[in-house]
Amino acid sequence: MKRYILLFIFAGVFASAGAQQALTMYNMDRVMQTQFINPSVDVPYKFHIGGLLVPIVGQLPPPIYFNYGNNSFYYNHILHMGKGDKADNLVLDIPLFMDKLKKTTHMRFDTQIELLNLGFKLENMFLTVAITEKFKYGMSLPYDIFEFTLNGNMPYMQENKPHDFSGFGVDFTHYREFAVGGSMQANDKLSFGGRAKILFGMANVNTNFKELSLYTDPEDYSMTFTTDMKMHSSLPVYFDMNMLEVDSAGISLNEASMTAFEDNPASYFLNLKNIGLGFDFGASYKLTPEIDLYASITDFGFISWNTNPQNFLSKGEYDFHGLEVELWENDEEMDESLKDFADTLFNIFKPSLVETGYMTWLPTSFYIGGKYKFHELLHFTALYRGEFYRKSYMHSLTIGVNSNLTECISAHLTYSLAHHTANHIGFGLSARLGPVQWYLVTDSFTNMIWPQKATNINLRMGCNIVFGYKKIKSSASMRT
Amino acid sequence: MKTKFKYLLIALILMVSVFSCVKDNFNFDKWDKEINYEASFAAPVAWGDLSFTDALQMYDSTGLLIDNDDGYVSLQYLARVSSNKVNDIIFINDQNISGTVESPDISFVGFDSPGDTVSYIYTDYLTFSMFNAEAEIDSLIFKTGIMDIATNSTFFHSARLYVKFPSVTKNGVPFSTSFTYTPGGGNVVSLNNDFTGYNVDMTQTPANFNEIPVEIRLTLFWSGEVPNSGTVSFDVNMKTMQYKIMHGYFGENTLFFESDTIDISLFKSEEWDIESYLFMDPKFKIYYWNSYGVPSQFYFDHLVAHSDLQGDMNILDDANNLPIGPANPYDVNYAIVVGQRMLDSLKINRTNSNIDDVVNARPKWIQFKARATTNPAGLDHHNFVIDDSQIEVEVIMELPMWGYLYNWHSRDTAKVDLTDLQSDYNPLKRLMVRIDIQNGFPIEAFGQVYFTDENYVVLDSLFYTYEERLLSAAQVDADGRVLDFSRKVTKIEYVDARLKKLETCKYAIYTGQVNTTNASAGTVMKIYRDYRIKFDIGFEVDLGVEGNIDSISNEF
Repeated sequence: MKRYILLFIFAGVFASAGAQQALTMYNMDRVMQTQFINPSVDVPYKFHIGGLLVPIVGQLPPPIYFNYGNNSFYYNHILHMGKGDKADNLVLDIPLFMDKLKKTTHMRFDTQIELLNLGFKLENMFLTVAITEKFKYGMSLPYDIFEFTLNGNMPYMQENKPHDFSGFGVDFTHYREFAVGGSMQANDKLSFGGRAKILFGMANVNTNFKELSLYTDPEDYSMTFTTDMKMHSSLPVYFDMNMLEVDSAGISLNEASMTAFEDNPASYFLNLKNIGLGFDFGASYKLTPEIDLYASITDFGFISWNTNPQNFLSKGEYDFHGLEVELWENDEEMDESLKDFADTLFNIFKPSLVETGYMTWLPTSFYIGGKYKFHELLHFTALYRGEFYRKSYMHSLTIGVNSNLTECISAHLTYSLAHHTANHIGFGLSARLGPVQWYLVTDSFTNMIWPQKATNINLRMGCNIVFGYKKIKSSASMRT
Repeated sequence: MKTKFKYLLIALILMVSVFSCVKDNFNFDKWDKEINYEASFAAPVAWGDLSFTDALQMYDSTGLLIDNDDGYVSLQYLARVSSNKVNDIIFINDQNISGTVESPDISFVGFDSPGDTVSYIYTDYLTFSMFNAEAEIDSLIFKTGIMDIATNSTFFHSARLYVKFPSVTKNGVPFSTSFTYTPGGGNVVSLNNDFTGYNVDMTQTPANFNEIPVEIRLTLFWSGEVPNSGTVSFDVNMKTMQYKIMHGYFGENTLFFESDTIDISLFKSEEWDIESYLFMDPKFKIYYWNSYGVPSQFYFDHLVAHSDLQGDMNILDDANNLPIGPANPYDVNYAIVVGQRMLDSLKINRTNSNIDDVVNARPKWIQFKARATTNPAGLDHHNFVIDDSQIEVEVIMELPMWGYLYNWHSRDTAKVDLTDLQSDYNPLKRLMVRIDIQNGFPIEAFGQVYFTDENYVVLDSLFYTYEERLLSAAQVDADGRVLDFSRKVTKIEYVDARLKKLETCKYAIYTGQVNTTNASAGTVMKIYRDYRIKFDIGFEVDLGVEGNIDSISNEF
């Protein structure tokens, strides 16, 4: 019983866990890419190189990372196999779907392609250089959008509360990261490291809806619309906005910029106008010969967007009481009145365009964890990850078993509470044949087997060329 | 080996089972397509903040609402008519004068050598034939006018004829013209002499009016040893003459006005009927605008109100000696100075006429014909007219909004088509319309709608009372003025069961009734322009759809 209570508390605490990035990878210290998450990791090679730009080895397999995260629901929360007479049928289950939705549903995608990574040992330091292409995109949908669509506005009206759509958001960012990092052993117990990153933004679209709400008055059903919205874009093309009259209002792609982009698409990839800075920090501390503690912060930084920057701003409030009945003497007067009404709405909510640069912050994550070296071949780990994303705090907890089975092979198994589900069993494997090292890791291979229950799909793989393996000796007191 | 095979078999079965499960989950052919959607929406539909005058004009846009002298509102129905044009009554006929100078009229003594001349001079009078035998015109100024003069000489000598109108002047210069003849004579004419702007003084002859003098002078020039016999004749024609202004005495003339009808649309509605009402102070007003400089009298030949209840009602019969009929015409103010437009009026009310009987008989229209006569007192040489002199008359039926209205009601039938309700997947489960009215009018209203089948058998009614109070009348003070708004919220709800009753509905019979505050007790009220009515209309609707999505799509 006690076990179940503990498990219940454990699950409840992390029921709101969000996106994850490298929960299993974090402790794969034979793979250089762990330095992307904890720069203080002591990599057991004197030199390594990898990335898509490295001939042959760099493409077998291509060094990519993909992550999909949904903090609210998975496929079976919408469609699932029925029961009884419906056991052989898929059924649509809207109540279940609604039950699983969070205040804001974030659906996020993260794709990274390593172009080049290079590392070498220098005295008690390990220095790295990496170039990575990163795509982060996603959509956020507030619960109240579904509530309004599926239940109407009356339930909230009866509770005298507004529909809050402010969580709505769209994000797309493509940038290139040039990272230079180093880790060093400060003393027998402490090591630390960091990575400084220059970021080159390629494209960005993001929204910031500080306020978007609809309140229905229970007395007279009048509706109050409130908006305070921003949409920023910095793209190789830009938009034309015509907001002079409601009839001809619209936003369309500027044809000249489109033509220029089509004539010279390479300029997109060589764009150096959107500069940003980012930092990763990490530290490891050997508490006892058996226990290591560590912490890291990743992606602390920003990008300043200056290529065709466009900011669409809309702020206003409007009380809608229905159409005003006036003494229309003919259809033309009535049409005119309706047009005036449309003009009023349009003028209140029409966006204004400001063409100045803007800045976006990277989604910063932090990790805190520890490792218990039960046996030279068996380490137990625990890792907590937190992330702030669009006013939401997302976190996860992972426990793992790690083993460097041989000098060439290591295997890792994790269990994570994340994305409001407790079904994430992760798996990682690295293998070295001569100087060629392969790695494959996922935080939830169960989700790959049962995608209908996946709130998170995650995969990282790649190949490095490594030289100068030096076995990191375990503490003398450890079991052998 | 056997154990390994077992494990392998188990693993294989597990894998097949897992992948089969995954495949089923994404096999959309297995989706039963059953949906169950239930949502409730509420929204405002319309709102308004109308003044009483706005509301009244929605019903009757022909009436004119004014603020009357007592500060409240009057509804006016009016017609404006004009007398016939002044040039149709007082005009200038074409005029003619002719004459002949013969050789016996001339003394030829000493007329026998080159350079000798003889002359003959005389004066004639052109008497104008007038528009009225009594007319005695003193003067006029021509707006237009043409004079043609044709002459002929039969003298063997050369000659010259002067024709002069000494009292027809322009800038002080009399109109004159001359005609020259060669020996042996011939025809000489002078056509299209323009009289525009000429002053004509008709007081320069012994008659002292209607005449102008014409001076004729003939001169012969000796042209050799030829006979002295011969004649010179002339013919003067004045035509297309119009005046700018004319002075004198114009005699008795009759001015006819167009006949007209005042539609009182308040009582003309075919849809609405009234049990009783009272207008406390109805009025009938006649306004005159007179730019004739002539004493005139105005009267109605015909002034009749028509009502379905009373038939034709002759207002003149009960005019209590008011100056509106032929026997007792009204002396209308007239212009004393040229350019004046004199305003005059005559007001008829319940104290001096039967107008309250007329109004309370629900007249649909008032028809009238009118005339005016000039110079009722006889000869007076101070008359004048100008080319656009006119008498205009505005006839107004004024209904001051002071009184009561009781049981103003209507009943009508409309065809309705509610076949959509018969759908198996009719998503409408409940509909509630909420009408919130803040009434600042001293008026209450009731309504009801009956839904019937094609045989007019009642299926349901909108309200389960006989007639639901839709408007609660605002209370009035002793003077009939509204004290404060009254509020009434009406909710009309239709749930699924009631909606089903209407599936065979073909007709909607709707009734309505309107009363002023405490009208049944005879309480009178006044309508002021600041009276307002505010309303909000909104709805709640419950939608629900349950069934196969393909079937539902086909249904719609």
